[in-house]
Amino acid sequence: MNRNTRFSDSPLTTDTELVKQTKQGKISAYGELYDRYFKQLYRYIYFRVQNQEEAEDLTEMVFLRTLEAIRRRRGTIDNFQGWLFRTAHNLVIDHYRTEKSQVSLEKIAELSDSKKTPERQVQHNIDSGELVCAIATLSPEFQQIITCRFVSDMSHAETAKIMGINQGYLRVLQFRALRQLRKVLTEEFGHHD
Amino acid sequence: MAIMIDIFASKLADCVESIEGGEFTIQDCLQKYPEDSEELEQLLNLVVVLENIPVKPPDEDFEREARARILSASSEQNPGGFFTWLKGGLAGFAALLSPRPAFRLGLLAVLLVVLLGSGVMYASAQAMPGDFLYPVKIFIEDARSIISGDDKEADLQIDLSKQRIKEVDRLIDDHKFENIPDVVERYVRHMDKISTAIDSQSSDQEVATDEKSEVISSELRKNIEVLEELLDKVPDEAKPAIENAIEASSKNQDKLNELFPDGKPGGGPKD
Repeated sequence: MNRNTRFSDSPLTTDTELVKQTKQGKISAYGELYDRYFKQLYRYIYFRVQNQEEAEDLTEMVFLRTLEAIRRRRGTIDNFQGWLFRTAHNLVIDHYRTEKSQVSLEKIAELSDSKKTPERQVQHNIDSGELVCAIATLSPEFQQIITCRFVSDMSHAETAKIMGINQGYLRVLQFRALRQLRKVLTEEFGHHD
Repeated sequence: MAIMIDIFASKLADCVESIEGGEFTIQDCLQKYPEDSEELEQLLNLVVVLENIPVKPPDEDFEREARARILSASSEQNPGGFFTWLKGGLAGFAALLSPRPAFRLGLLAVLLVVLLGSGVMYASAQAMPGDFLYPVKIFIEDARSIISGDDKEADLQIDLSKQRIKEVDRLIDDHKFENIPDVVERYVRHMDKISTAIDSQSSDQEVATDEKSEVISSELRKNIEVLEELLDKVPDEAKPAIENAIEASSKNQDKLNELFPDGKPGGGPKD
């Protein structure tokens, strides 16, 4: 469970500086921001939509919308990562609503059945399809915490910043989200420790 | 009870961070907090499972091509047309003056009058699609969008969307149904810009959004009501365009309701 900490390390050029350079028309600056966050953002979106092509398209759209926001705003964006993931969160909600492609329980049940092979099973005999299905039953807030913290490998501080809450409250929500998830796994899928 | 939850949540977060940092194992944590070891073990095991969920990686070609597309959009010049060229020039000029918005606004207004003449600007306000002065009207609207602040963008786009609805109404009266799809296309673009403005509001936690989101939602509702009335007046071939406009408005209304259920983004306490 070693976390990749590159996102919390101080990069050579800060996000804020790259945003500023982007606003001034330096194209490569936005390329650097793209390289810095593409994979993390893709993982976040993929996990929410469970489809590679849709996740790729939405990831591209998030970067385009954020670019538009950088250009349009009079001021700068101080928390680029937070902005990016909040935009992603909003787009995923839009996507669920408009494309009718929400990860339905039935859809994930199919996913779960079709992927019950030993190599697809994760630890403690919980199938990944079942896990995704269980997470889909949680509130959007709980889903966001679990996706940011454990799928996109963000720290408590990064997740709190993205959600606009303080770290103390985030810890409480994280606990509640995990407890609720465990309850769903136990009651709906019969997983016991 | 709330205090106990806070304490347990802190212990859990502490354990998760220590394990993620490679300082502790799950067993180390259970020994550190023996009084909570049972629930801690269950939740920490779940964390391990979550962190091992397989995620299908993105296509490498896509990642590279998307990067190129985005950077190309970043460097894209506004194509074609005198008004588009002029708009781009004014936007660039305005950006140079950005530290002094009041001055910038005044100067742009003077420039518009000098370049187009106040009579032309006045006359263009009544122009309809297909008229010679209609591009001037659209140009002025775009210029207003450039000089308006981010916080006013949604309000402006609502105003412009109402203008489009009036135009559709007049086109129906004049039986110029063939021009309706173009006007509705512009209406949908206004809705797209409102959608982006809503995203910005919900992303920018410093912007107060409670009353504003209610006002926008109310205006969108009025738009939908009028569009539904217009739907009954147009011939069948124009109906899909109007339905498209209704759908675009509804999507924004749904988004507002979902993002600001209590009139505010987020919902949790802040530092």
